[in-house]
Amino acid sequence: MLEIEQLVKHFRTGGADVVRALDGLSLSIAPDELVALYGPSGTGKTTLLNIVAALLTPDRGRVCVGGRDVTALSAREAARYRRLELGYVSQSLDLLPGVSAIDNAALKLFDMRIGVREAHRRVASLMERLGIGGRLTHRAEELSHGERQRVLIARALATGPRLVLADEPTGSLDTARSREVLTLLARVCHEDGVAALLATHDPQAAGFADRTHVLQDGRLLDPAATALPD
Amino acid sequence: MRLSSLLHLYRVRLRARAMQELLAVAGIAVGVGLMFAALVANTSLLGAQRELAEGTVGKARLLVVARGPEGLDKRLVPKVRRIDGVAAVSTMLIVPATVLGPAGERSVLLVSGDMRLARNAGVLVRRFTRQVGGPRVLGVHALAMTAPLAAGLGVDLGTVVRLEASSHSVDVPVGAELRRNDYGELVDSPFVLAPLPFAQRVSDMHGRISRILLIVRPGHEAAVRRALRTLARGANVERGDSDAAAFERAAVPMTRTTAVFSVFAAFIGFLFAFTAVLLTVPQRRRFIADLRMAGHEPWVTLELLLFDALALGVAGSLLGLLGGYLVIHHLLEIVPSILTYAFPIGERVSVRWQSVATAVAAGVVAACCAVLLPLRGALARGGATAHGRHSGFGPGAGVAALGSAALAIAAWLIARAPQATTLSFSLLTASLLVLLPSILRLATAAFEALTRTLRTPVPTLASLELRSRATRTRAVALASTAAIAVYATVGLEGSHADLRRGLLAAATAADVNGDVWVTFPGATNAFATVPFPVHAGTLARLRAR
Repeated sequence: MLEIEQLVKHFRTGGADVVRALDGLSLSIAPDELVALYGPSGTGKTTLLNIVAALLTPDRGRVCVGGRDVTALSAREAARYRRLELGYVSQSLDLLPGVSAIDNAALKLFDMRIGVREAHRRVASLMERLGIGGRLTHRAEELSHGERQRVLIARALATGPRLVLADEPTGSLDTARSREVLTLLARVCHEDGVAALLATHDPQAAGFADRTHVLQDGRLLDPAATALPD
Repeated sequence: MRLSSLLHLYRVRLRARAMQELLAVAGIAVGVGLMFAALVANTSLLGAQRELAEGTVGKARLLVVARGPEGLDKRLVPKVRRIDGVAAVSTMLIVPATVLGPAGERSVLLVSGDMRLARNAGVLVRRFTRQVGGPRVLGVHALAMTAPLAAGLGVDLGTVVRLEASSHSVDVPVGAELRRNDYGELVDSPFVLAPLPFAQRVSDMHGRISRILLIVRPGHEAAVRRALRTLARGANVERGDSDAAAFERAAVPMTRTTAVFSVFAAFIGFLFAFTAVLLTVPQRRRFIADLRMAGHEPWVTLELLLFDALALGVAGSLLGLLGGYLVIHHLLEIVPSILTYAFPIGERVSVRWQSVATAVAAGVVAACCAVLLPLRGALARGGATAHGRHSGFGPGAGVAALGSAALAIAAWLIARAPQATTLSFSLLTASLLVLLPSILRLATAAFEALTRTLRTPVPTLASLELRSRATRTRAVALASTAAIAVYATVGLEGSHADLRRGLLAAATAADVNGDVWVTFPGATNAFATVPFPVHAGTLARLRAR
């Protein structure tokens, strides 16, 4: 489903200093597989996710989703890819302030010429499944952190994507809420046949994945030679 | 995106920023209102005089105008008529007068003409004669006055009013009222119409006229002008629109004032609106980032933001137009009193579609600029993401160079071409907006360098505050406003000083030989008196005092 080949992305930080965010990273994920990318902050996890989401262009390498290289997409094609084929769950729990949970979740659907009522109908069933069916009309400020994260997951899944990227989805949650959210993500992934890439610095979160890779200095370490901390 | 989705997204997001949006609407309304009021004041001032001039002069291409208050000898007219190239000739007598009614008195122009004037003159005279039964009306001994004037004096048709002109004071009935339905905004100009013989009698101008109107055949204007100069040596030969042109020259300080005020108002309003909308920038930036992550194409984001801007701009502009209209009617002095001494200007308000369109366009553009600001750099691939950084606030070297050039040109225009007020003002504003961020950054760096050795955290905290975006925006807004206010004040004061110097010189030259002036009843302008007979006994009594 997702094929990453020899991905390189360097950033200049002023002067001659270069940060090697990604330095020849390769990875593949099958449909209905949840893969965790573990590493401390600043190891290039978000950079990788942004390149897979076609928000950033790499210096070298390819990212193929369903056989198509998303690094070569035009801005319009990239937007369409993000809307229809990709779900992105960020670590920030910021929803549109003052806006109801259902409108926040339906944000991807408003541009699909289906009308507001139909968008609400589609996303309501998804929110029901995610356990926030009773909070549809509550404004963002009235939701707990866990509920906000579920709204973001509902937004990511609203268009039935084939690939979900989750960037530290439990970074702002307590242990119990983290467990709930990750269980939910893994269930959706397996039930709907969605490939998922989870970036995290939490070894507990990585434990929910089918496979975990450790990212260090822009490269994946050998799984056999690394052990996650408890 | 569907309109229903656009409206829905706008409505649900509005709830969270209603107060900021109200502030922004208020800012735009203030700017649009001030600009609209200034534009309307300008067009009303110039438009009223030009319409009155054209309404009386009509198709006449040339005017023979008496140089002094004694007027022209009417026997000149047949000679003028015989000049080759003259198609038609009519005569007019225009003298200052005062009309007194039960409810008050008004200084007016007493306008009269011969029978031919009914055919050749402007819409004012032609409509009047048609309305009351053809050219013979000019032979009736009665006044025709505008409906607002009659209302102000408290008179109706048939009411006898007192007319004072020159040394005469006569009672005369009101024979016709000129209504707004027939004459439009001309009825706000202060004039009365009367038959020529009657006007000559009450103004001591027997056999005299004040101007001859000529309709000239195409291609003969220069030859007719030359012949008139030879024939009418005691008179000026002028273009048909010379009255309006003279007024426009006299009103230059006023029009310059309103032009500067328009730009100033627009700028103040823009800054107010911009600052108010800046409060919603973080939310809009968040919204843009969310839309981008959700896979909405750039034009959808643009569509949503433009809808925001349009709603904001239209609401603010409509409110501003309403406010501006109230300001015009209740607060602004449309006609400066200094000009009413020399010109017959009514208190009319002329709202043209151009003024409305300009004010609304300015409001919508201000809203668009402010609302689209968060879009800068946010849509490019690799641009700011939801949690990304934003680029710096200051301009690049190229933009700074452009700003310096604009400042230099503005300074040159101020010194060498003061009439180009609007251009110099706009350039000055643009250059300040471009250069001030750099200047503030340099000042902050200098402050940091100077306070580096101090052992207190206060300078560090102060420089952090100085470097914050909100502080810089406010500082730029305040500094720009102050700089432009100083320029506007200096410029306007210069214009008014020129006018005052000119009037003072004229007054000094006129009254250098007398401490007290005696004028006929009703005269409001000592410099525009007409001859009037004074009895020897009166002079003797005056001398004895």
